[in-house]
Amino acid sequence: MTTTVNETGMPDSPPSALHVFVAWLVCLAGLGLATFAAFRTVEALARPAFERQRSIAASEATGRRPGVGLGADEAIARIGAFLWPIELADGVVIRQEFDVHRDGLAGLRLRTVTWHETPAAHAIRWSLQELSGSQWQDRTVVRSGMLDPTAAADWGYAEIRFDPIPATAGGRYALKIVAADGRPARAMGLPLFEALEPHEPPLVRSGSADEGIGDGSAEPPPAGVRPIPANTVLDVRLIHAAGGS
Amino acid sequence: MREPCSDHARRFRAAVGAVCRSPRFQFLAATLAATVIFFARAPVAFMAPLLFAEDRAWTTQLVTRGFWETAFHAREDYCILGNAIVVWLGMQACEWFCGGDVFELPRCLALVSYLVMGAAVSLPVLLLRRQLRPVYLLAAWLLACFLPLGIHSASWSGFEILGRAINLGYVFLFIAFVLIWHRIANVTTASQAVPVDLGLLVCTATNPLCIAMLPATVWPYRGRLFATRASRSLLLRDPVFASLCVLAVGCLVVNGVPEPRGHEPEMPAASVGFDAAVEMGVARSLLYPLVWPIYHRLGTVSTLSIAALAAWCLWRFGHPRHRLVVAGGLATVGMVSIVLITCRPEVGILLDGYRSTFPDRYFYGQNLVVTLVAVVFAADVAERLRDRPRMAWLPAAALIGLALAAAVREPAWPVADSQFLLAGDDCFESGARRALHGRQFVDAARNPDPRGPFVEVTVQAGCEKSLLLPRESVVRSLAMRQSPRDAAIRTAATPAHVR
Repeated sequence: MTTTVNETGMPDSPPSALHVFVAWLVCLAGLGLATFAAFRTVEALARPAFERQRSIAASEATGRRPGVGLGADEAIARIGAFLWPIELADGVVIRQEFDVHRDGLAGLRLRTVTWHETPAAHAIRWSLQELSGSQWQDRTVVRSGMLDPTAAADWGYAEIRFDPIPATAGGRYALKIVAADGRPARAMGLPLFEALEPHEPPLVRSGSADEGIGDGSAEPPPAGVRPIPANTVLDVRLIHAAGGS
Repeated sequence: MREPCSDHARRFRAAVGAVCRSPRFQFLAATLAATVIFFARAPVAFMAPLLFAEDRAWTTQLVTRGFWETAFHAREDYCILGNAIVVWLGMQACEWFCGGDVFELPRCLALVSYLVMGAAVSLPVLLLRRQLRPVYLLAAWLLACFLPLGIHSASWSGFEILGRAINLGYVFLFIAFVLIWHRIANVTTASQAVPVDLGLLVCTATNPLCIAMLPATVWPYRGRLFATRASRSLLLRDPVFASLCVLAVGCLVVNGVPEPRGHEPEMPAASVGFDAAVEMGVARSLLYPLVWPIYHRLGTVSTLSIAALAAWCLWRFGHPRHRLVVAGGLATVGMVSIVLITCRPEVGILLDGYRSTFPDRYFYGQNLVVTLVAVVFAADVAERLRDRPRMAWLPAAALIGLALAAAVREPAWPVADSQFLLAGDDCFESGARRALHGRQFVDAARNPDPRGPFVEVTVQAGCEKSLLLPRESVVRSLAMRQSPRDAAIRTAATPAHVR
């Protein structure tokens, strides 16, 4: 066994157990910190690219414009040709389901028609249902309120605002609109459009405002309401709160 | 006169140097670096909190049926001990580092999966130091870290391998190969043999193909086994051999006899012709890690030509002392290929005549073995060239260059190119809220039970498959997050207005 000497000519003593222990601690801490820093750096670099690509992937699936900015609205489906309006009168009930891809749903914009007139006052209730279950069969009303038709514009948008719902991404919701019985002098309507992508059509029934829409589209169309064909949709746009992801 | 401070500093520097040179530290450093590389290659598993495929099923089984039941009975045909360990570690990491927040479970599971894969590809750094010089250990590590996973497919499939527990089983083939090589070459005492044999036991209880590799461990004892009775009785007293016998018995007890699997239900039954067999067994399994830049140009004739040329080179330029390793590696790849061709003929259809490499998960285990064999061969060639210093560095440089080229060729975070659309994958938390709200409580057998200890959570929009989580954990995790959502639901209607 050879003994090394230092520059002063004295023999070098080997590292003690304490030296070795502290050296291991220092090396492990350094390694841990370096790994953590590298991991966080990769994450910081990947996150924007990841979100951008995911937005593109989502837009390819839904046909929507990618990278919709925070606070902007987005349609629940791409709409094509106008088909006909559904008048909000005589206890008509309309229910439109849609998917939400981002958190922080804070409102909805509904395309309206008024037949070139200012609609008369008429009670119109809206409610937003959150759907759950494997077949979206369970419903929970998470927001509700009243629509004022007198402020609606012809081919304009009625805006419904509510407290932002924090975790909406990946969820499925339904907007239900119930018009009171009776017929106002000048009614407001919701235009029905051809859907340019596969989408659940709205369910429409008339005559009993307090009744909910049935459990599926297998219901026969009620008297007085034109059957709603498949691949039709209302022009509903989602408003997300700034900060929703 | 000696100065105590400088003496301490010198001794401390010496200790730090010793730590940095120690195999364990270098293995740890290589593991963590590989973990970061795998995360960089496929960050989806960490960023999209989605329990992917069987990760979800095995998590549910671990929660409802326990570890051992999941490890040995989750599948009918073979055990998934290694996968179950990974999922269990992910759950423990969630408990230890995230306070039991179940919504962090996918991230914890992804991290553990990256880490286990990193440890697997770094294993030669720890165990094969006497067999390979550092530069070749580096080459083997780089080749494994940057092994192409789907760059020749319409869909890059690295994201279904890296960061997922589900497809980690294939890497146990590589682990078993390294452990067997290490056992034959380096293990001389019982204290060295027992951990290696425990590792091999985990390999066989995770990937049944590793069972067929076990007979290779008897190679060092072949002379004594078939010699005199006295030599056999002496052998039985050898603790290293005794550990091997215990491993064999343990392997039989744990695995029983593996049963063959049927065809994938969604895939048509198919038979593999000669061309497809060459493509699956030779081009994709054996040559791909080395010929990936020209993979699309291959055909049956060129594949067989390259394979014949490679075999001749291995025989002509390989060192005789490494022939056992090379033969073992080739036998491993051959065995897996035969199993693939006979049990998974539909994979031949997916490969589509050298137009695709998908599904890469079926091939990356044997590809890792091939990279190690290629490194051994390169080391042998370099040894033959040691009299020509200007040429001796070429084999290592070629392998490192190939690994770096694969890294450059790798698409950057190709989420949109993947075959799985990840939109709507971040509804884990909202799904749990809905499940609690909808009182989707079940018992361990998934029967609806209002007092059931588990809650059935839909983790992906529109996907009927669900995840069972402990009800208490979900409630506690939601409370930890202190989201105002429940309050918002109670306040319900706010006055609406029309513009």
